[in-house]
Amino acid sequence: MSLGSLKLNKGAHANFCKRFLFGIPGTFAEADSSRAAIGFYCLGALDLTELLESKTKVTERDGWREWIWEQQVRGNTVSPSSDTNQEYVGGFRPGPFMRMDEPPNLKHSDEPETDEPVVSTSDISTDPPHLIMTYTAILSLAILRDDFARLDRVGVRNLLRATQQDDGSFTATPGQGEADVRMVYTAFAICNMLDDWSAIDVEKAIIFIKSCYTYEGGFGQYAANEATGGPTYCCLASLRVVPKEYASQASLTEEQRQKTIRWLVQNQRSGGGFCGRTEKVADACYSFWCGAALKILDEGALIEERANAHFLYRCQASVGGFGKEPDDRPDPYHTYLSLASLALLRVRGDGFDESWALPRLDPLLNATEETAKWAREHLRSN
Amino acid sequence: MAKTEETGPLYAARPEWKDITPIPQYAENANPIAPIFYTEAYKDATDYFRAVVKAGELSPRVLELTESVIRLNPAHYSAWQYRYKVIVAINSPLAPEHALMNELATNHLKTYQVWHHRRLLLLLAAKRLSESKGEDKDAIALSPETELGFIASVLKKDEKNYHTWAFRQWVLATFFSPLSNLSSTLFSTSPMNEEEASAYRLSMLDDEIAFVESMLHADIRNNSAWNHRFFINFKLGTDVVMKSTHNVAEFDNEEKDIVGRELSYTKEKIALAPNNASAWNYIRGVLELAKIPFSSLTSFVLPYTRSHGQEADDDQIIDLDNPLPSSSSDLPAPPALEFLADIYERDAETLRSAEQSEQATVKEKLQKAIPIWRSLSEDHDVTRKKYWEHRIHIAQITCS
Repeated sequence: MSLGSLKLNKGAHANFCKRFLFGIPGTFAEADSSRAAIGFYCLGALDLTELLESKTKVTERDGWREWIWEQQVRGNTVSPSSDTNQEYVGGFRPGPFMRMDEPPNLKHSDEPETDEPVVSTSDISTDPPHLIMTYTAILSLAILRDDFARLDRVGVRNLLRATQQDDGSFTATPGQGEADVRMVYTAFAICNMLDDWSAIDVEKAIIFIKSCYTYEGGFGQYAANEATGGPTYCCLASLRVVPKEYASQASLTEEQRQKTIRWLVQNQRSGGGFCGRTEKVADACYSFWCGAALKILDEGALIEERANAHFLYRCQASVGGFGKEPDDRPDPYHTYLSLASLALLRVRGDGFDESWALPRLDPLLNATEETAKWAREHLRSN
Repeated sequence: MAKTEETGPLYAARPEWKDITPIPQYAENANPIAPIFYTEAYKDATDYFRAVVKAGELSPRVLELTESVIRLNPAHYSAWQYRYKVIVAINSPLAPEHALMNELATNHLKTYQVWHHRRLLLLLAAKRLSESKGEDKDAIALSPETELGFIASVLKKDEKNYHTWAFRQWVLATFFSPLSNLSSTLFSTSPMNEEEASAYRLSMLDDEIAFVESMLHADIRNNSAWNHRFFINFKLGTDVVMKSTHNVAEFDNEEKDIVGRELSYTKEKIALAPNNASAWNYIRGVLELAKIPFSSLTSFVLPYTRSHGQEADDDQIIDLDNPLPSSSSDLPAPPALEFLADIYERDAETLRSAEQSEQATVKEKLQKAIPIWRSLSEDHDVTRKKYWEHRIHIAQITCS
């Protein structure tokens, strides 16, 4: 197969994501409870193509920032066991789908601007903040270069405390729902950006992560579940973002590490893409989850990155965006993760022209290095 | 009357909902992120849902309303959570709820909430049974055995569905593990003593192995089924967290029997499809767990590393412990080559850690592995060229 003049169609991908930012058809009602995440995939793709500023207006970007801040909540946890120990929680909701308060009247022009956290008081038992959405909202704000003056850091810390379970895992919303390594990762990523781990029991969470290690070398979503790419990324990234004092507890044994590397490498298929589980077909998102996992293990050099890029080239849709496999319908999730994979597993020359140049990506936070740096600098609680 | 296919007439048009003032979705700012152009039905149902939640109404009609919301958006976790709250509050019967869930789970296999709600229902059934001393006949419909049957029927349609397998493991760990404080015997109509319960539990595990075998018979490359096999044999009934973070203690005789059975079973499956990575990963996992050296499988592996027409003389002898590759298989099998190289490398490692050993013997072992890796990188598994070259590089450093 000739690699003559392959093009990464950045402009079309940026346009595809921009369209999603402006609206989603009603047939995708399932997006209602994850809009902040969809926003992150779209803004992240614009960030990676370096077209955010040229494709969108300042007023639009300001509007999106305002919308994200509208999702910041403040409310009291309902703790049936100990009424005395009530603590308010903060963080972000996925969107206003369960918001029931009246919108405030338009702000009077003579009201002074304040840097105080602007948050709506809500009943978090019915309109709770969500851990994954909090992580994606924070990264989106960092992409939009917000100064985070309005972030209620205490509220975020209390959300982390309220979602950690006895076994070390985290639920997405306080006191309710399933608990698995996706939420552990987002909790760890938030602590890393805040540079503050005081709200959570890190040791317990590490024990939980390690219980998800499987005989194949990858990690499952929960103890004894099948090894798969997404959870493996979540676990390895979590084990690497912890502060130094936990480093020895968070490290894998050399045997475990070699087994993980073997399993990740085994997931690259002959067509160049990665599968998420043994003996399955390649899916564009695993080019990121497995590729980034190998990068985190400092073994990115073991990937055949040109074959990976060639697979992703074939997943590009003519209307823009990436689908999970060639000729599949594109969506923001696969679009963002394909671009993120290409930013990590870089290809240039020999058929891959200038269009494949992408900004460097921080594999631990899953954002461009500049956005990750911005987030860490502005979130740190001094 | 305005009507939608899935959920019937709009709530705004139903006389029995006249007492509720719907709450429209919060007016967003001028630049919302990813706004959804809601269908009329979704807007209608969620407007009423928000109103009901705000009023704190917990009543049978809210079950109908939440069902509408869930049908229009199965990922609406607030509707799921509220629905469960209503079921508990009004002591709603569980059997009809469970029947509805069977339909919704089949249509929305990949939605987290569908499976989480089922867990809550099963736990609630167990609670009602234990509180009523087994008298709550409605709850018996949710027996873990029925649940396993339902999951099996779902897995027949989507053989590798991650949520479904994870849910099956949860059912087994919650109701069929001696470590759990719940037991499936709660649901049995005749009481069992401890001994009977334990025998029953073991018979269930035999059934579970038979189930996995039927899944593997349908698709020998179904890695989810292989993982489940590992779960039943080596994880269920043990403290999963402890076993994975610490070294496994000595195996008792019963466990040794299981290990022996699993090695034979997997060898047979490898013979049928020598390139099946799932089976090789499984056999590696069993050996490592039981601390059996890879080299114990040398005579099994060798025939899989040769091309057809290069069989050794003794390959003709029938050895039941070491089944030969089927004549139609593609040989040499890359996973077998990898395994053979690992045998040499691990042997070298063992020799190196035994202090008196000769450096020359270590080298000799590694030099047997290097050409195998080279053949993988150049010929049999070029997709992973860099990985095999890396393995060669590491070995060469050790040798020099």
